[in-house]
Amino acid sequence: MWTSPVDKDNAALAAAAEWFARLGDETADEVERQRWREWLAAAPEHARAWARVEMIARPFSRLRANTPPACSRQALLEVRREPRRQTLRLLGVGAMALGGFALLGAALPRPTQWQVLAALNADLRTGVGETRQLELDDGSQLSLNTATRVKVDYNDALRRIVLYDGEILLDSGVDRRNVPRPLVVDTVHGRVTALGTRFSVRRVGDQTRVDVFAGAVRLAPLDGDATLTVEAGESGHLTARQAAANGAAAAAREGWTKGLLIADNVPLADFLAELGRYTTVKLEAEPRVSQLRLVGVYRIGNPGRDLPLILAALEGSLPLRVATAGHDHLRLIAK
Amino acid sequence: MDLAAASGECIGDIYRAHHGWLHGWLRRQTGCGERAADLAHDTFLRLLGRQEAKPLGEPRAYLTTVARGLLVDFWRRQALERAWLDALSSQPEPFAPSPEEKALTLEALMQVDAMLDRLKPRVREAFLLSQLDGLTYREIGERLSVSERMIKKYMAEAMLNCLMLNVDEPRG
Repeated sequence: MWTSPVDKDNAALAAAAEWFARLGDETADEVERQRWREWLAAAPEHARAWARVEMIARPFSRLRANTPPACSRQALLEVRREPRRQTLRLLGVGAMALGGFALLGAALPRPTQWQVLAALNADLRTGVGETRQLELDDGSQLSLNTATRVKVDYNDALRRIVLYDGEILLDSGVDRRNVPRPLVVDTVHGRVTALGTRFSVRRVGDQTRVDVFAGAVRLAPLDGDATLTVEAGESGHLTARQAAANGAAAAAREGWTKGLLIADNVPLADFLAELGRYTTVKLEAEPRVSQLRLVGVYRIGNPGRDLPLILAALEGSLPLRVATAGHDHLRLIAK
Repeated sequence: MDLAAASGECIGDIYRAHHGWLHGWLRRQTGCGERAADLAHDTFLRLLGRQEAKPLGEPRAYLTTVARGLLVDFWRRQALERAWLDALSSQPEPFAPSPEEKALTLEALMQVDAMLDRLKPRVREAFLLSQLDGLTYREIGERLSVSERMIKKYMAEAMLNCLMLNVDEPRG
């Protein structure tokens, strides 16, 4: 079979990287070195590939020669350390009146119009009940769900978004550079690489959930080698150690960008957990009603206005009523 | 070299039309007039060295893109310098680099830093421990609590990443 020059070069680079790793091993012996010399002489692309390895090693040897190497290492690792996690300050909960729906009317910020993000390196956040949509430099559209914090870090090599808290949906744009840069979302659990696509990434507890609506993404756990490709219509999740499939993508994971809360035959308890992300009011269902299943689409564009309406709709469609259980605390109980 | 002129555009015109706002924009970004002047100068140098023969459709967009790239490098260099000087100052034996040593080191740090982007944190650390500190695979393995075989895998992965980065993204 004919092999294209590009494939040959790539294969040579992979082999060169392998040789680099083997020769760097303190147990590498003369036999190994002889085999390496034979490989080197076997094809011109091998020699070319090795020349690149040496080029990459050059700045390292300069750093070793001039200054304390540990300091260089520390500096290189330090500039990549993620900013310390900050607790999101809940919006004005203490200042609100006791009980009743009136307390939901607090002025939560409304979703903003599309904004063009000028800064290349920006920390973005939304408060509880706030959603936000932005257009990034490359035309990608980034939506932030409630209580979300991300960093947009576009550099020469990578279009990188770091998700610290909450949930985002990305409609990836086309990188107009000559060599398009990969678009990735990093979380504490690993890396999600866009393969031309619309997808959402959400941090929930000890995992990162990914739902794909167009194209595909690749999931790579922080501490494991096996990656997983998730196609349109599917979902998956990442823990620090592994990536796994989750079944069908949930419409709810896309609906929020349109200000919609979608319940697709889910238990009431799950729906309340979702709804609870948009408000500082504590919502709970007593056991007798918490497993009732719910189907519906609810508007949550403006949580302050919409939450009472949603609760009223629940009272209308399920055998339950909403009771005040304490300060900023509502309980759904059987009728 | 002078491709812009060859494609029928005059650098001088572009410079006169755009230098003002570009310098202003860079000054606002960096908070330093002198630094902004340097970066504006570098931006126009890139314009001179442009490889494509086709004329610049949108000089403003082009210049902004290039200037942003340079700004990102500039900020990165500052962050690296700060982190490096911090590390130096916490050394048991004080080390005071000469201006040349400092410049050379920062240049090398920038080059290495650009290679590390796509690496997983553990791979990155293992790679640096090997290439900078000169630790053996066994020592690195002990430090990161993984097997020597895994360290060897990390090394190949790190190097391949660097190699592919260079293939994908020719600088300039």
